[in-house]
Amino acid sequence: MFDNDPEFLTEIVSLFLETYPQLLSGIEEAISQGDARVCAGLLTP
Amino acid sequence: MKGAVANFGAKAVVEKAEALEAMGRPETSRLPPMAVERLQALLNGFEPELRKRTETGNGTGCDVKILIAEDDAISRRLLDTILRKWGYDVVVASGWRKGLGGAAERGRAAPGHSRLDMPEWTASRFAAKYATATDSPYVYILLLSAKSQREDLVKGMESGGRRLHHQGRSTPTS
Repeated sequence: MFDNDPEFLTEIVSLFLETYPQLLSGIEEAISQGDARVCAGLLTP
Repeated sequence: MKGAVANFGAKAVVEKAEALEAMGRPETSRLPPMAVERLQALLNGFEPELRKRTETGNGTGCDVKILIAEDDAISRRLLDTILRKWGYDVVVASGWRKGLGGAAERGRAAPGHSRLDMPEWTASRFAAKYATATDSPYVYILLLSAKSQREDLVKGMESGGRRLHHQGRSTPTS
């Protein structure tokens, strides 16, 4: 997928590091509220 | 980008897939022959209309671009980069509503990908508005979805979809 392109890989990893805290907190909040629909939406790619 | 139609042609796409497979690219070498055949059949069905649009003109330059409407930043960037590497002209938006604006600003775009539902608009609402805004008889939307429940597939069909292709395996519904 990254086709020997380290800059592209770095960019995607950086994007993941930027976005996963918000995603994780959203999942935790959905679990705490027992909202399976929201939780599934966040977990689905 | 008038030549985009040729690039989007079934033969060119399959040849490109086969060439990549021959080079041992892991993402394409996993494609089973049946998937390539299905892709070819799918694109063959689209090609006459795309070719007609190129030949007859529509007053907007007949650009065929791919619109990525995707709310996940990582998926969006991955698709953008990969499609650009494959030679496509890409319009990127974080959702259907923004995608419609982006498509209007950049000229016509062939909606290429998105999730079945995103927080703002549904795929069906986008398709209706896009068709109205561009006076297009057909709107081709390839929905990549991990959703596999029967009710999700029914929802996709109600949105006007003829076929839904589930990620990881193909789920013909027509």
